[in-house]
Amino acid sequence: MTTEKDTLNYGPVLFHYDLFPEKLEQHGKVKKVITKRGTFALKEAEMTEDERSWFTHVIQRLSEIGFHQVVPLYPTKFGDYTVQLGSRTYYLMPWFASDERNERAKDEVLIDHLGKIHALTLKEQDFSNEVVEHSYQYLMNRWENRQYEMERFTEEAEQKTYMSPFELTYLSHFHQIMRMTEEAKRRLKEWYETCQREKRYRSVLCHGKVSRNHLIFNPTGEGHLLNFEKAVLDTPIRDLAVYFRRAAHQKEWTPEEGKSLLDLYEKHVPLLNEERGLLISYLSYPEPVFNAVDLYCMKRNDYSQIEMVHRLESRIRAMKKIRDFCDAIMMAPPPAPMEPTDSIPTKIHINDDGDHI
Amino acid sequence: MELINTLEKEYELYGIRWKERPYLIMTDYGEKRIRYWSEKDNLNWHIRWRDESSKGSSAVPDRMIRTKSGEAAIKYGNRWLTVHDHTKEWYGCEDIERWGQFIGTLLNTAMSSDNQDVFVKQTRQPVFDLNQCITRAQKYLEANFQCMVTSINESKQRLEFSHAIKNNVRNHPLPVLDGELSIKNGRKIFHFLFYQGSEALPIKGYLPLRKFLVEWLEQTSTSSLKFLLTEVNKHFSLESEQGLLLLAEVVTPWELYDCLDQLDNSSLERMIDGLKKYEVCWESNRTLVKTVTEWFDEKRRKVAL
Repeated sequence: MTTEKDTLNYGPVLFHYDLFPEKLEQHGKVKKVITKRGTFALKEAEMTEDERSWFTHVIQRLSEIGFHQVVPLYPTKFGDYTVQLGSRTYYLMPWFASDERNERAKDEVLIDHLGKIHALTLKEQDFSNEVVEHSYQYLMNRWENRQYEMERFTEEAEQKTYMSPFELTYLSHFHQIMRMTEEAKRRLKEWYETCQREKRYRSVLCHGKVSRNHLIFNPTGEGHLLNFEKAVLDTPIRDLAVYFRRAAHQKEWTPEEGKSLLDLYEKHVPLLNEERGLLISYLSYPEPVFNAVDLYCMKRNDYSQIEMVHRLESRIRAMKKIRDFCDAIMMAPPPAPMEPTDSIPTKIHINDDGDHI
Repeated sequence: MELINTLEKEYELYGIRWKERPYLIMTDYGEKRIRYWSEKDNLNWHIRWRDESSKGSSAVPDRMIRTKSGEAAIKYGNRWLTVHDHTKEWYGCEDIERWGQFIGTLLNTAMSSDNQDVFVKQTRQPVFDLNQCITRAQKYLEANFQCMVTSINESKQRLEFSHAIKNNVRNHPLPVLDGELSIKNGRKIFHFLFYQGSEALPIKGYLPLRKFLVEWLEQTSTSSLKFLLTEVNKHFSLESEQGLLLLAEVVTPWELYDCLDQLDNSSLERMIDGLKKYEVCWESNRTLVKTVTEWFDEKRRKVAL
């Protein structure tokens, strides 16, 4: 039931749409708003003014370039696509009920849509040594610092007479983890050298937060993407790396399934050799394992040892699947030639902070 | 019916019928107000301040509801027409924080007006005319009525003080505000402050805010007025030159016009009654000057400490 408090909290937002809620239900980060005029999804987010205008620009631009599989935003009665109240930003969309029948096809639809968006927005950027150099150095430094922190954790654990089960598990996989780190760094260096040699890189509109949860099906069964709050112009590898890294953590996911999904993606955007190398670099870097160590160091009192060990083991298993997947990627046939474009470069990000699991 | 048909054609509004011709209509989405504008520049100015001051504020001004094609207004005959939300329920003065935030946001918007814009450049800046007041009060001054002599002398002193402040900060820009800033325009929708602006020509300077503060004091108390200024100050700094410009406007004896309007010398009885009203009017306005000055003094003292 909708409480008076809900009406007080959301009334000022829904006023912008001339909606009076009969019932409000919380579904994750979205409120289901039931009114006499229909059922809607109200999303609450934190965005700066620039982020808000970029977000609405992205949604409008996707429609202009012919990609319509995006959950539309309803404009307010004042013609805005978002409502800002204090530090909070809200936007309203149609409510699509989840359809269990489509769950299996979700990954295919998601990758297919991603490929379409990337193909529609693909641009070969004019080479900027400064931008590539900065992006490379930034990520390499970050990775090396993280590696150093993990080595320090290892040294400290080794000095203990009695190691914890977590430390023991970590140490038994340490060399393998470091090999993956070195592989990631080597691939990143290769990408940098190829960019320097070929003097090219490509950008697309990245969703920025690719997830199965950000694809929903409308009543006719057509998949629609949502949550473009973190959309950004970047290498197509950004979205692919986020997707595959998340996917590898699903129990049923196999490298073969990953390969067939990447093939599906490449029907829209065949990857260049250096992009393939960058994808392997991103995926190989064991950030999810490092994050599990961070969590152990900072919140070891919040979880039991067994929970921590399970988390770490599941991440190591996922990294093994990722390694097999990377091997499969390397065996892929060479990509089709690319049509040149005349766009102006803006920026390139090859760091994907915050997207790690 | 012609206007109703036009509204149904242009707006995403349904079930439109007159509630109070020609300003209020009922729709399936509630009561709406129609405003008519004869000057396009004035309309554009009002669209802008309503849109801008709604950003991030927990108070909502009565912005122009957009047409189906996203326009803020439609041409109707030789005028323009806009549609707004409307409600009768007053907001009152209890929620000082909300009012303070709204006034602060409004002042920020008012300061960001494009000063190169011809319409903004030509905006009227009212000037107080003491000589005109003295002429009106001449007979009473000649008769040496004490309240009259005191108030005129005090007005002269206050005006000099106001000019001195303004001279010190003369190079600073002034806000451009809706000419009819009033507590009465504060309404309640879903428990939030819904502010119904006017169609009046804007005014350059702090006179509309001064009138608002007079009204606030009439409805509340001196401590409430000080609290309001403190809340405004959180969102729009009154501790800078803008605060001095507001102080200069508050000190200017604008109330003398209202006091003089109370006078009536058509009979002896009415003259005495008028003088009493004059005295009451003058004294009550002195409280505003005293309270606002005290607030500024307290602020200065806190800084000094």
